Amino acid sequence: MDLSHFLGALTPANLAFALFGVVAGTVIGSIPGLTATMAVAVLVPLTFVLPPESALILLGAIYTGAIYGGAYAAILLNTPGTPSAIATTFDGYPMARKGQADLAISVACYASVTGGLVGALSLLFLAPPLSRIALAFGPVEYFWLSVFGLSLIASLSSGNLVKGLAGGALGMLLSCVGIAEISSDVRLTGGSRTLVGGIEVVAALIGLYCIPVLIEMVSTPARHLEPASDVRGIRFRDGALVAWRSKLNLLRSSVIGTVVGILPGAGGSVAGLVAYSEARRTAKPGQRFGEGEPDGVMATEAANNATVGGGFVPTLVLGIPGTPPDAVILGALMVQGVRTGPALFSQSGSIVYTFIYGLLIATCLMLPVGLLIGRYAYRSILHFPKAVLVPTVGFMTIIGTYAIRNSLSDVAIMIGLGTLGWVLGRFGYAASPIVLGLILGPIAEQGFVQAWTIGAATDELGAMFFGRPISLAIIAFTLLSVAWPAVRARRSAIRPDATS
Amino acid sequence: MTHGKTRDEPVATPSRASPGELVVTLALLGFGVWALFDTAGYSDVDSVVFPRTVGIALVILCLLALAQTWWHPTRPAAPTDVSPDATWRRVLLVGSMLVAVALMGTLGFLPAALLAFAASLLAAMHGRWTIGTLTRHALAGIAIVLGFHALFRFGLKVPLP
Amino acid sequence: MNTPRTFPSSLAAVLGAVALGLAGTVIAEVPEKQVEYVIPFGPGGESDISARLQQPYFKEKFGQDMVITYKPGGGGALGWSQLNDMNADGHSIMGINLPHIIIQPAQKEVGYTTEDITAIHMFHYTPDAIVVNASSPYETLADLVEDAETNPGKVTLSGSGKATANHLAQIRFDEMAGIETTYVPFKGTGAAVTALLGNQVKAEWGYTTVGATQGDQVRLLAVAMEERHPLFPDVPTFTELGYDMVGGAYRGIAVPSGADEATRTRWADMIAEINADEKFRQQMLDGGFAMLDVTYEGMEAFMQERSEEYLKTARDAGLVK
Repeated sequence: MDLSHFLGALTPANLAFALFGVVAGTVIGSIPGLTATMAVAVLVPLTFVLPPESALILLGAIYTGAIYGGAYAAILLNTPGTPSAIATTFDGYPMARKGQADLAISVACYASVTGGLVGALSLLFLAPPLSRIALAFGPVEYFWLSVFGLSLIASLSSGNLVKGLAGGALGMLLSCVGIAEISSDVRLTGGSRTLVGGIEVVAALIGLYCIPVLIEMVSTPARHLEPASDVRGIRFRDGALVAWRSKLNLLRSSVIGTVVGILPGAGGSVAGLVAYSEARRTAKPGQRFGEGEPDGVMATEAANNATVGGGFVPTLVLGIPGTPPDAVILGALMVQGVRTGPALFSQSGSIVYTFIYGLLIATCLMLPVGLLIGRYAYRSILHFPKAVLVPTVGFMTIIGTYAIRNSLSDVAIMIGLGTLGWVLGRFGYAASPIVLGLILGPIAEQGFVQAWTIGAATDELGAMFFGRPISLAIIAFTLLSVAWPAVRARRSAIRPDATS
Repeated sequence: MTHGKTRDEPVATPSRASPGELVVTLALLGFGVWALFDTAGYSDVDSVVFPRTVGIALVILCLLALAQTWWHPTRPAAPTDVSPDATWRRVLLVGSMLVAVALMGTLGFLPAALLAFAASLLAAMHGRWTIGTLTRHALAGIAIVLGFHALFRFGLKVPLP
Repeated sequence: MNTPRTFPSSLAAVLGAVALGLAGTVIAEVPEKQVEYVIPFGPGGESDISARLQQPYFKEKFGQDMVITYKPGGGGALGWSQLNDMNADGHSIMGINLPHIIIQPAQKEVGYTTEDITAIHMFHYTPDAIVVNASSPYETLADLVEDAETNPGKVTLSGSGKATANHLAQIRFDEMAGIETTYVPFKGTGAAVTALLGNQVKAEWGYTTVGATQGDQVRLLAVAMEERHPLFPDVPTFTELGYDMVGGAYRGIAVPSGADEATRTRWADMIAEINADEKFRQQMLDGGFAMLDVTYEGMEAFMQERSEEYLKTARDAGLVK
C-alpha cells in the first residue's frame, strides 16, 4: 500500500463519486422503506462503465451514506430508515420529543463518521486477521450471539420484562412464517399463499414503528415535534462537544460495530443493539437511557456505520458478503471481472487500496454533508404542517414497502402489522422487541439446527454448544446483560432515585 | 424503551385491569397456541424445534403477563391531549391506506395513492379548512405524490402497478 | 411446366406475406422499452451473478436496459408463484432454477406447480462439486469415501438449503457410493462456504463456482460434468471415478404464461444470442459456470428428463411423497 493508491482516490472523478454517493445514500437511507441495499442495487448498472475502483468507491459511499441517513427518520419519526437504525430510535426519538432533535442529528453525524472511520481503517490495516476471526464464528457462535441479542431485549425492557420477552417471542414466531430455510417446510401460513414468502423484515419494521406514530399523529391536534426554545441552527459546536466528551463510548461502539460487521449475516441492527446495550451498562450515574440520552444515539450510530467497513472484510478477503449491500457489490465486482476472495489483495491490490482510501474519504465527506442535510431534514420536518406530514409519511411507507420486493402484499402486511403494533403498544407491548425477535429469530434457528446437526453427527453435542472459547465469551456477556437489571434495581434501591 | 412519548411514569394504582389489555394478551396467547398446533404438521423434525420452543415460551410469558395484570394492575398510560374525534381519524387513516393498496391493482398506482393521500390529509387536519389551506395542501400533496412516483419509477426503476 | 396460379393460392400468398409482415413487427417489438428481469432470490447468489453478466450484453445487442429486481422469499417460491401475475407483454421475465421448481411443488403447497412455469431457455448450470478446505486431509474423493465408510454419519458436508441441488447431490452420491454422510443445510452458498472455510464442516456440496471464487483456499475433489471443467483441468469428473453423476443446479428464464408464442420464441432467440457470444461464454466459464443451450423447442423433453431424475432421488430420500 503506497501513496499512489491514496492519490488515486483523490482524483477529481473519484472525489465526485464519493461526494455524490454520500449525498445520494444519505437521502435514500432517510426515506423509510428505502434501504441501503436498494440504493446500492439501483446504481450497479451505472458502475459497469466505470473502472472498478471508481465503481467501488461510488457504491461504498452510497452504502455508508444510507446507513447514516437511516438515523433521520429514526430520530424525527421514530421509524428506522434502515434496519441498522433500529437502536437509534431508543434514544433518538425521545430526544426529538424533548426538543433536542437538532442535537440528536448532529451527534448522530459525528458518531457515524467516527464509526465509519474506525471500520474503514480496520479494513485497511487489519483485514486478514479480522477475516480469520470471522471464520472462527460457526453456527454455534451465531446461535449464542442471537441469544445474547434476545437477552438484550430483556435488559432493555425495563418497563415490563414479561411483555418485552413476549414481544420478542412473537417476533421470533413471525420470523418462522413461510418456507423454512433449514428444512423447506411451509410454516405458520394458515394456508395463505401471500404468506408463503414470509414476513419481510423491512416491511415489518416500517409497519411496527411508523404506523403507530402516524396513528398517534392524527389523534391529537398538537404539533409533532416542538422545537427547543432556542433554536440555534443544527448546533454544530454543541454536538461536537458532546461527542468529544463521549469519546470512549464512540470508540467502544465503533469497535463493536466493526467486529459485528465482519460476521456475515449479522448486520448493522445487531451491531447497534450490542453497542447500545454496552453503553447503557456502563452509563454514568444520572444518565437516563431510553429517555433521550445522546450517548445512546452515538453508540448505535457509531456501531452501525462501523459495520460498513467491517462488512467489507469478509466480502473482499473471503468473497463472502458481510451484509446484504455487500452481496450486491460483490455481484457488481464479479461482472467487472474482479475476482474477490483471497486473490483480490494480491492480484488487484491497487483496486482494493484505492477503494479503501476512497471509502475513508467518503466517510470524512459525510461530516459536512451529513450536518448540512441533517439541518434541512430537521427544519423541514419541524415546519411541515402536520396535516401534510402525515399523508406524506404514509405515502412514503406505501411506496417504500412496495419497492422492497415489488409486492403489494408486503404493503398490506406492513399496514396490518402496523395497526396491530399500535394496539399492542397501547397495552405495554413495545415494537422493538418484536422487530428484534423477527431479525434474530432466523439467526437463532439456523445456528441452532446447524450446530445440532453437526454436533449430533460428530457425537460432540455438549462440547459443541458449551466448549468453544468464543461461545463461552458470548454466553458470559449474555449472563451479564441478563443480571444487570437486577443489579441496577438493587443499586437504585440503595440509592434513592432523584425522580420517580 | 419507552413508547417514544414523554409521559408520566404509570402510577401503580390498584385499579381494575383494563379489559383491552386482557384481550390483547389473550390474543397473543391464542397465537402461540395456534402456532404450537401448526408445528404438529411439519414433515421435517428440524423445522419443529424452534417454533415449538418459542411457542411454548410465548404461551408461558402471556400467562405470566395475565397474572401480572391481575395482581398488579396498572392503567396503561394514555397519551395526553387526544382529541375527541380521534377514532374516526384513525380509522380513516388506516382504512384509506388499506383501500388504496387493494385498489392499486385495478386503478393503478397514482390514482390510488392520491386517494390515500387525500384521505389521510383529511384525517390529520385538525385546524379549520380555508381556501388557502385547501389549495396549499392539495398542491403540496400532488407535488409530493408525483415527485416520489417519478423518483421510484424512473430513478430507481421500480415497476409500480 | 406451367403451374396454374389459381386465385386461392395467390390470395394465400398475399395473406402469408401480410401475416409474415405482421409477425415481423410483433417480433421486432420486444424489446421496445426496458425489460424487467426478476430474480426470485436475494442479491449476490449464482442467479444474480449470471443475470448481471447477461445485463451488458442485452443492452449491447438489443438496445434496451435490462433492469434486475429481486423478489426473495421461500427459496424462490414467492417469485415463481407470482410469475403468471406479471405483465405478459414480453417485457418481464423471471429467473428459474432446477431442481427448485420441480421439487418445491411436489413437496408442499407453495402457490405454483411446475406446469405453471413457462420455461423459455436454460442457459447454464453450476455443476455439483465436492469442495474441501485447502487444509483438509482429503486429497481425493476416495479419501472422503473411505472416511465415510469407516465413520458412518460423521462426515459433515455443508450445502445450501434442503431439497436443493446440493442436498439432492448428497443423497444421490451417498446412495451410489453406499455411504452415509451428514448434510448440514445453510442459507445460501455463501454461508455454506463460510462454514467450510472455518472448518465447521469437513466438506461442502457446492458448485464449480465456489472453486472459482475461492481459488487456492479450497480444493475440488470431483465435478459432476461430462468432461473436466476448463478452469479445473486437474479435477476429475465423477464419471471418471466411477460414479454416474452429471448435473447441478440449472438456471434459465421463464415468461408469464400469458405471453404469446411469438414473445416466447423471441426471448428464446435473444437469450440464445447472448449465450452464443464468445465473450459472454468466456466470462461465465471464468466464473466457474458451465454453459448449456436448452431452448424453447427442446425444453419439454429436458424438463421431463430432469423431473424424473430429481423426483426419484427425492422420493427415495423421503423428501417427497
